[in-house]
Amino acid sequence: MSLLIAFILVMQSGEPPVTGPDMGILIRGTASADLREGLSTLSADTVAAFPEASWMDDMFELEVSARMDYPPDTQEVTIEPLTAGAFFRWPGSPWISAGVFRGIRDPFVYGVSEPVVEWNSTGSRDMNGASLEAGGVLGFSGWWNRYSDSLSWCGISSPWLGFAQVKWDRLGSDSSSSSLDNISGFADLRFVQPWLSFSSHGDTWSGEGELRGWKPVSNAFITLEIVPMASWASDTLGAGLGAYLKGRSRSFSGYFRAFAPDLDNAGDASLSAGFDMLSQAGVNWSMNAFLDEMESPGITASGMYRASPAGCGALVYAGEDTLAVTVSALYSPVRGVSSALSVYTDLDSDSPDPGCALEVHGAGSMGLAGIRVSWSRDITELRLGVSAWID
Amino acid sequence: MDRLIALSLVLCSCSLFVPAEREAGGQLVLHDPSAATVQLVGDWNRWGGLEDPGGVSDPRSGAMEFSGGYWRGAPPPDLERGRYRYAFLVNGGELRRDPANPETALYRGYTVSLLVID
Repeated sequence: MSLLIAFILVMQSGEPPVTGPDMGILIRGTASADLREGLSTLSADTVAAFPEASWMDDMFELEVSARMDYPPDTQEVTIEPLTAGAFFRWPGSPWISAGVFRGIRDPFVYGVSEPVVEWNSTGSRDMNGASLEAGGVLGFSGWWNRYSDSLSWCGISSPWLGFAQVKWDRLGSDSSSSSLDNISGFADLRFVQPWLSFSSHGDTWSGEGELRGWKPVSNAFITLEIVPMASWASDTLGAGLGAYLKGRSRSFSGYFRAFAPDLDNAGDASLSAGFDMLSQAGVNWSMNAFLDEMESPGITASGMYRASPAGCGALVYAGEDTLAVTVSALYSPVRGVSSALSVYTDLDSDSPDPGCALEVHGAGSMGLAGIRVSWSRDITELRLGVSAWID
Repeated sequence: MDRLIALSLVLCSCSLFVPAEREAGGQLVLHDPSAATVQLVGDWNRWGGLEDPGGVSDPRSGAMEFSGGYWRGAPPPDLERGRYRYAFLVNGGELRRDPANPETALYRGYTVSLLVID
């Protein structure tokens, strides 16, 4: 038993967290004007400050943040609490903790090709909550979060078992009496790595997976990885193939992807291919072509000479009934100042209706400021923005 | 396959492309001498604050270092194995995918890059 306890304690030991206080305030302001009516129409759209403070040591973690708005029309400052959290951690262990919070720890679960639960999709960041986390045994950890009285998120994870990773997430909602379960992970089988994700929502199961690690070409110059993939939802089976080319000694990458979400209906298949490269002359070349559901083709191609102090480039998009062209000129006189003048139009339209935009950005140690002036047939607009952090 | 290898060797050896500016330690690199600022944002830092309750990007989050025409930054070294979407936030407003990474995913309707750590 003492050996087991000693083993558990060894597994629980970890790097102590960064300690001490940290506080500051993020200030953000935006303003706009309709230049057809003159600069007198310039008015503030947003004037807001986001103060935040945190304090952390080996056992406790505290954080709080708020939003202070100064609406130009009412000129009354409003203060809204954004986040708050107080967490206790078992001394010397990053694996065992408990706490209460508001606005943080919202659920996020990634599958294979896309998130199963996307950021901020549950609305939980507006709820109060409590959390428990425990682990350290054989690398496993488990957690439980409860948001007000309507949502819970719990799970068990093993970041690395030596050859595989496994994670189980459950998202439960009291109001709809339904739950989402997701089991995901991958195994390193030396030559190939299967990645899998299975989800159950009510009575419906779905899954997706891909097989990585097959590199028929791998030398000092490039690697080419072929990735077969498959998906399954109810009685629908999908399959696809990806080929990814990466330059090892040269700035080059390319890809080809084909995926049919329903093998019984080839018309739903999509194809895409493209490449990016940085030429010896300093030009970023990029081309991407796609065919959605076997009937909507499109292609984008661009060449951008990004340099200091001056550069230029063009982007062309050709799709269904559209041939859009954007031509840009770049100017960066000193480090931290960037400007771009862009002219864009749709050459395939009956009325090309060109537009133009001038953007200037300046960055410093505290933040970033930007100006954008855009002209088109219907509108001439000036927009200003400032974002700064003050310790 | 032999033709593919031969073609790739020819393409690479004819110096069409500059050497890849990638370094050890999982650094991600963007060539853009004209940018005022570039941040490395992704799922690991809640997209630089865009996914925090305030919903605004923090100019400090994921700030990349500039030298020799390239912006360099790295995801946190203690990132667990898994899949993470990321992009370069140029001048605080433009989400640009990594041109050196052919794998992509979608974030808020934008095509961004996918980092697979195995």
